[in-house]
Amino acid sequence: MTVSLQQVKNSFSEYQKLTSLEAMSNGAFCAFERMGFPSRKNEDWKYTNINALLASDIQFVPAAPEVKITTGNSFELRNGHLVGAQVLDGVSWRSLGTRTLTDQDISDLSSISFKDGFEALSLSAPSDILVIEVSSGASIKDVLTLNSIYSSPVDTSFCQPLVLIQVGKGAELHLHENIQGKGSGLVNSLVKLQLADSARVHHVKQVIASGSHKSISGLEVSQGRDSFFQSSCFFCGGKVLRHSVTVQQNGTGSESICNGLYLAKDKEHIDFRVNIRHLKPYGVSRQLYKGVLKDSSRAVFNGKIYIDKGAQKTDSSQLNNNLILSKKAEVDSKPELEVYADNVKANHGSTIGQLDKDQLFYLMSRAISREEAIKILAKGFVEEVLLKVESKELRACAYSWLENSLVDFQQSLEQSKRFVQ
Amino acid sequence: MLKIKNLHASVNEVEVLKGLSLSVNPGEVHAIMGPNGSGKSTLSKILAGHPGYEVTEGSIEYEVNFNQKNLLEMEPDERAKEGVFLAFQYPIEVPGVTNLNFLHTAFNSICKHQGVAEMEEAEFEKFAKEKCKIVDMNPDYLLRAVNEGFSGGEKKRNEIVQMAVLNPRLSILDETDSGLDIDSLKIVADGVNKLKSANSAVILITHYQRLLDYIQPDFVHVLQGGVIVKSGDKSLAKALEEKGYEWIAEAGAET
Repeated sequence: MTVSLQQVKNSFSEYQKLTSLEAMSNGAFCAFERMGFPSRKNEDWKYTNINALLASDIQFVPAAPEVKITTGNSFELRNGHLVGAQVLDGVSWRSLGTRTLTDQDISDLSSISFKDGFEALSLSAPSDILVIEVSSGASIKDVLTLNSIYSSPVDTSFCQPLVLIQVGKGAELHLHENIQGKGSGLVNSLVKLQLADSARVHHVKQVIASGSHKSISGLEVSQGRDSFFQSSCFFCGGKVLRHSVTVQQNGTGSESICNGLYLAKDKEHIDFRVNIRHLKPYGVSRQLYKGVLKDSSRAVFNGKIYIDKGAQKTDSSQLNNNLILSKKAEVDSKPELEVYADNVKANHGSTIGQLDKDQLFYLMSRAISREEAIKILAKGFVEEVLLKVESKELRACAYSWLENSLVDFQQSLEQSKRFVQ
Repeated sequence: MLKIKNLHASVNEVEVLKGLSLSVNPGEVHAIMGPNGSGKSTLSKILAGHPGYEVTEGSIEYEVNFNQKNLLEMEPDERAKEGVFLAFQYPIEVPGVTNLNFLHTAFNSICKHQGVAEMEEAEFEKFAKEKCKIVDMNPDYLLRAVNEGFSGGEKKRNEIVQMAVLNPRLSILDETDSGLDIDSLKIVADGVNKLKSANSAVILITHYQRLLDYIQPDFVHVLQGGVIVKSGDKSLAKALEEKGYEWIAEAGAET
């Protein structure tokens, strides 16, 4: 039995008694009531079973006002609540729990248009709202970390952190989202990132989840003129992980590089969605998403490139490669192009299969034994995504994620000789 | 060193080589020329052990350090360990694997096979950087993924760097000149000339004569229709350049 709309409504009124968000959350909740939870008839949710995500009831828990000062350049979130923060030069922050949000913050957030009921719900009853502002011209060379741990043992817990990051004109930010999903319940999180003109953001998001962790997460990015955004997402574990990345180029000459790697085992389910929207001319976008699947795991990749009529001279590409190590694993890969301009480059491709036999022959022709070559190629398959992380510090973060996550896959990868085409 | 006798081979059940014979001795440079589709690349792939080609008849003997080997029975990596090297016409991109790691693994597996001490990473990096100079390749390319995003010319140079590092006995250069501008061609040819030695041999596979202006062959063979139809010295290449491949066919018809 999954939660009924009435139960959600009751939990919402309980939540509202405890916060001061009325206008925004009422509006969002109306939208939720209209849309409800998405069903599998909805094309975007075709491959991910909602019933597997929802418990028999849900509880929204708003944040407490205490926030400790942490060491290092980090924000600490526990079950969606901000519990620790460290202010850097050039960075300021406000939050819902500490009652420091401004009217402008609320109005920025209210302007989000909802893709589905989950998004509407996340604005109806956010566990916490963290607004981070990087001042114009600030060049933050140290990595700013957002550490999130989800450890609620309660099945009905429904964590909905909302993070809004505004990067000022010409500012530079290295952002590391580090997420550990250990608990039960559902996480429905949203990060909104706004890059002003000429801003540069390097972003790595890594998720290590275990057991019954279920998560729906969104990254929504808007880019100003000549801005640069590079994001790499690394996912592994958990019962269901669904992540959508939407990048909108609102200014001319923006560059968006979005890469990702997902590793799935047992009966894990990973649903990855990427939508790059080119609205202005001379934009560049690159996508590389790779997956390794074993056991009875399943991955969904849905990648879209949208090029508006006015976005002439756009140069975009998208690639999704999946390596399957078991007969029972399944991948549904769906690349999409929607192009309305006539002078653009748009490439996309998708592969599902085994290691490349030409590469294998090349390595063997250089005196490397078949076993060794397979090992190298399998490692190279995943490392390609890590090598693309430009920022050295963030790449180091990604490597530590890989070390932790790849343990479960090492043996299967090394034994994958029968999976060479 | 290499004795190919009456070699017949097919790809997808189409016979491409129809009784090719060729002998190569240490210290020699052989050029194999021929029109498109004559079987040049098939020969190079078979020598390296590509699994996509089926040898239906004939033999390939390979002698190294006074040991006779049946090349056709060896896996590609075993051939490479015994000193066979193919410079690919279209070098393969291997994303996620750095040039340096790739070369280091290759180098050490040859050392191991030959009973020579393997090299540590730092020492090898120095060694490999030194080898980059042979074809004027920026050593930064060692830290990039193998051939990924390299231009056509850079890929070809990278093949020669590999050749320099692995120090093969028998090198087969498959259309190494194709897609190179004249400056790159000179650099690559120069690199090959520096690597020539009295106990190693080179087979140059090429469509055009121009590579042979820079690497002097001892023998030139014309491959047509899957067999060698004419052999001679480098003047044969000049004659081909002037008269075209049809001239051989006509000459063959007359005799």
